[in-house]
Amino acid sequence: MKNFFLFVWLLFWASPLAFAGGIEATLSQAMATAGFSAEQVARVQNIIETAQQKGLPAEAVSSKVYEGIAKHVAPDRIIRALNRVTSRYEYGYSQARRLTKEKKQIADLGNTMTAGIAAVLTRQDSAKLVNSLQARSGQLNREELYLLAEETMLTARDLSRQGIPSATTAELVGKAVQKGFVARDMRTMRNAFNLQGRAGNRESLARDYSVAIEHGVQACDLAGQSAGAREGGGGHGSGNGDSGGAGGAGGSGGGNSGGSGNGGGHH
Amino acid sequence: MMKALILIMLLWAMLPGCVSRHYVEQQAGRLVFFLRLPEASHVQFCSSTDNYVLHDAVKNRSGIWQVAVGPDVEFTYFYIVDGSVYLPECRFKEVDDFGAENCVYQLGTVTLLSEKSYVK
Repeated sequence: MKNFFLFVWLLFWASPLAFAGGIEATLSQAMATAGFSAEQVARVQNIIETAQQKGLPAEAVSSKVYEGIAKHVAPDRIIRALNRVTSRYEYGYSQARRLTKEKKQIADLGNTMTAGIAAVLTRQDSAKLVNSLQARSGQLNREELYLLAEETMLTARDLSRQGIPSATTAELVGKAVQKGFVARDMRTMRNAFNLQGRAGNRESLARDYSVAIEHGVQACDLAGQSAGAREGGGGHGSGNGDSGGAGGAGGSGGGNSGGSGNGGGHH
Repeated sequence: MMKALILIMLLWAMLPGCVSRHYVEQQAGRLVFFLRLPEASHVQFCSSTDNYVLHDAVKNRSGIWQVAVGPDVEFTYFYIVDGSVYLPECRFKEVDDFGAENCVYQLGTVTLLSEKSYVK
């Protein structure tokens, strides 16, 4: 019986090592095939190990190696890219730790923040958003604050991925936080934006939202307000040609209320 | 009659411009990416879902390349067209840390609306 428990314990102890070893072997093989020198392979392994020690997602680092290899990027440039990736994650996770102490929440929030920074959101603007969220800690309990932080960072990430300038994103999302939006409101706004942003100039749409929120418009009314502003002479040209005549701008009269709209499955 | 004929011909000529060059559809639980690039002779699709393994796309009679990938919530992707990295028009992007960008696929912001023109 004692041997059985010893065996089970060994199995549990060894399985993560075997998994890590598997990743390492596949990656090492890919790097060797791509012409990495022994020294370069060692540097990559060192970066991965350091990321693991800091609690950062090592898969993000190894994924960047595979991506670089697929793009025929020279090993030295890939290694420089890995340093950028780890630096970005380190920053995202450090900001997440300002909002929560729970490991999984830090990882989820940190990953979302890092994704925003990997688009066009600057580190300074993401820190501003964290400041705005911290200022709400007196009004919300821990769970509510985390949910708001999650939706806030998802919204900032989505806007950034759509090329909205960092300052515009920070202003809009930060204003929403300051005006008392809760997690559901933020999700509603994001869904409305993603829907309305199908057509027209998205940066201009973001500014419209910002002005509307400044004037006290609620999240569920943003779509209708913005559509009205546009119909009333606030046209924004043809945008970046990415919409291809997708039609209406998300309905009128606050069509996306309720928070479950089209973007519910983001993460 | 002549005017109508000219109008029809004009509309016909404009049609390819209206159709998106790049879109994705959900088919039988898989995501199918389409890329209109008739002049290309070899197109491959790469994504973070499987560590950027190169997947050969298949060209149909209309010159549209297509490739199916497993359903995933979110991933980054790009194409390799005739040996060079090719980034199609796409709504969601992020930097690739090599001086260019990747497209990002996000569930919910693309497929639930299932509009080809939206996806580009």
